[in-house]
Amino acid sequence: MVRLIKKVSKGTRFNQIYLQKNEAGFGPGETVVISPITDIIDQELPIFEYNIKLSSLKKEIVKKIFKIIDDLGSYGNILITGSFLDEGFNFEDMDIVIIDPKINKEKVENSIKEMGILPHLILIDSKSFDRGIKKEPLFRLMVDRFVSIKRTIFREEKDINYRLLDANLFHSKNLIDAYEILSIKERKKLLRDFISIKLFAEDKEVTLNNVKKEADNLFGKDVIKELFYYGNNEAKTKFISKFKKEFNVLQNKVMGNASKQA
Amino acid sequence: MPQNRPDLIKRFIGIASNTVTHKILINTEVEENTKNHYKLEIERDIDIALKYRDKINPIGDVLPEKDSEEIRNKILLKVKSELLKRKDKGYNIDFSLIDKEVDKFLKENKVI
Repeated sequence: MVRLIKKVSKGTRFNQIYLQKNEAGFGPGETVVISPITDIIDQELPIFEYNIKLSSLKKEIVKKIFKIIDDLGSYGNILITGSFLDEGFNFEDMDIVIIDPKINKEKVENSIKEMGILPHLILIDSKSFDRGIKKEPLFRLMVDRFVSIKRTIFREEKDINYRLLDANLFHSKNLIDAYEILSIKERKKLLRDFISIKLFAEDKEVTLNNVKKEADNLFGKDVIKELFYYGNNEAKTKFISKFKKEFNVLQNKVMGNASKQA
Repeated sequence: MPQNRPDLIKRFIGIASNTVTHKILINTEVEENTKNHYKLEIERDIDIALKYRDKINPIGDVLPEKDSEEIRNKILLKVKSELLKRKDKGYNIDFSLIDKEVDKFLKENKVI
C-alpha cells in the first residue's frame, strides 16, 4: 500500500487533493482517504527529566517501559528513579514508581522482564506518596532525581516523625553487624540510608549531592572511595568505628526528640 | 570474613534483633496502607540474616535444640531491651508481638 506523508495547505479554489505531477502511486481521479498522522502512527510518550540528562539509549529503554505500562493500564504518573539513572549500565534492577495505578502488577513485571530488565515496582496512591515525601528521607532522596511520564514537581514541607526515623535506623544498623557479608552495593545503600536519615533529622535537604558531601565529611573522601568504590578493605576498621560513633549519636538524638514528640 | 561458628551465630543474633525491632517499631508507627512499602526493607534484612544462617551448620536443617534455644533467648533479650528503652521514652509499643515476630523470623531462617 502506498502512503504519503504531507503537510496540509488550504486554498479557496479546489476541494480536492492536489499532488505534484511526478508523485508515484496515485492516478488522477482516484479516491483517497486522508487522516491525521497521529491516527496512524503511535504517539510517542513524553519523558520528563528532573535533575538528570539521560543518554539516548537509556531514553529508548525508558520509552519502552512507559509504553508497556501505558498499554497495560492507567496511572497518575510513572517515575523511574535509583541506580538506573547513574551513568553506565551497572544497575541490577530498575526502580519504577507507579502513582495511582490501575494495572495488573504481575503482567507489567513480566513484560518488563521480557526486555531483560528486573523491575522493582512500587505501586502507591498519590496521598501516600506525598505523605512519604513529607515524612521519609528515602522518599525525598528518590525524588531528588527521576524521569517521569508526566510533568511534576515534588516540593513538600518536612514532617519529621522521630519514631519512624528511629525504626528505620535499625535497618542501617546492619552495616555494623553484617559489614563482612554485605556486597559493596549493599554497604553503599545502608550508608546512604543512614546519612539520609541523619540529614532529615537535622532538617537539612536530602539530596544525592548532600548525601555524598556528608559521607565524605564524616568518614573522609579517601576512606569512602577505597571502601565503596574500589572495594579495598584496609580502611574498614577505621570506618566501622567512626560509623558506630555516628550511629549512636544519631540514635540518641532521634530517641530524645521522639520522647519530646510523644 | 568471620568463619567460626560462635562469631557467625553472634552476628546472626545481631541482625535478627535489628530486623525484629525494626519490624515491631514500623508496625507501631506506620499506617496500614503504607506498611507494604517497608516490606522490602525487612525482606532485605532477612536476606542478610540468611547469608549468615547459610554458613551455620547444619545448613538446610533446623539447628540443634540447645543452639536454637540459646539464639532465641538472646534475640528476645536484645529486642526487649531496645523496646523497653523506647517505652521509657513514651513510645506506645505492643510487647505481645515480640515472641510471635521472633519465632516467625527464626522459622523463616530455619533455626527452629
